[in-house]
Amino acid sequence: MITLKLQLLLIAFSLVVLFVFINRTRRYKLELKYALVWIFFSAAGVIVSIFPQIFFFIARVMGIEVPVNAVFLLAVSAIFLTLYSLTVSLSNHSRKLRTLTQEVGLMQHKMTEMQQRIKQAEGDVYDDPR
Amino acid sequence: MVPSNPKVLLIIPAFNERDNIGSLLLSLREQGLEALVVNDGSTDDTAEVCASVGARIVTLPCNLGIGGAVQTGYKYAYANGYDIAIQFDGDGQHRAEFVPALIAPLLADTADLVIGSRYIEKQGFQSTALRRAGIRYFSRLIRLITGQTVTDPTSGFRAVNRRIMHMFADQYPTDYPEPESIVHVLRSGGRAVEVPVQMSERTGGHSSIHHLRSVYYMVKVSLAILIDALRGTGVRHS
Repeated sequence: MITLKLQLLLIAFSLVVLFVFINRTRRYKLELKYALVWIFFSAAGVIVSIFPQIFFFIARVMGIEVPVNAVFLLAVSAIFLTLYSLTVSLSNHSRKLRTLTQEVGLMQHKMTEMQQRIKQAEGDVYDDPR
Repeated sequence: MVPSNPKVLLIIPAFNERDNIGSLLLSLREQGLEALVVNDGSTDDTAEVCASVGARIVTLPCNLGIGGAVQTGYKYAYANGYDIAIQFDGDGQHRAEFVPALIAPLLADTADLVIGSRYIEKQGFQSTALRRAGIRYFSRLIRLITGQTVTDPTSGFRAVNRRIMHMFADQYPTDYPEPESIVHVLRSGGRAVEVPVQMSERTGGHSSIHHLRSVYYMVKVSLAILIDALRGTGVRHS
């Protein structure tokens, strides 16, 4: 069984998380793309804690004796998936950042070269005795 | 094919190499070699030293690590129409007199990647026993996976033709890139050969691999090689 106290706690916690992420996204502090996974899992958290029968069902299907353990299992799974999505986007960003850094370095080099060439050309004009 | 009068570029990654880089660049110029220094976000005056001897230098706004720096050089070489790009350390380990030997297989079109190996003729600086053991281990791992023997897989003294230049400009490992990139070349059907070279003990700076980091290095590079082997010929970088 899940106690009423735990149930209320779960509902409150999920609602807070849901609210925080929606609100932060609303204020343009978070990109929806990355907040999405949080919003999805906290909404799922709200639903399953309002209808704890879902936990009982999952516990029975998975052979978990104490339904509250199903709560933890699901929570840990949700965290795993969230972390996975973060690792994916972190890898993408580090690749993009590397490409950008290289591009900036190469462009700066090209610019310096061009500046020198311009300076040289101007010098040629002024130095021309004719 | 490499033309008879090839454009050759030495890519010199440099991170805080102010003590060696100036004299190295001058000696390269005396030998008529074109070089590009990739200054990997040095915190010392490496950039000023290079500029004072009139060297070509690309300065990265932040430190990318050796792989990211070298890849910048490959991008430059590819975009500027070089036929051959050579990786050359800025710390005095590599010796320019071996450059002709290094590029000979590329000119003869018998290889796409040429690795300068310390362990064919076993002359010159041979590194410490512990490092040699690590190098032998990588050598065996690469033979196990690719069937080809590479005696000096961690050598950073290497030359490539345009085909591999293009590949490396597109995809190159970020840190500890040497052994992994050899497997990458072989997996993509490239021909890798080794030529004997001698190296010197580094004259300044210090190696990027030491202590606890060497454990991380061994594990990471092993995994990188194994994962690269899993990519087969189908996986291309986005």
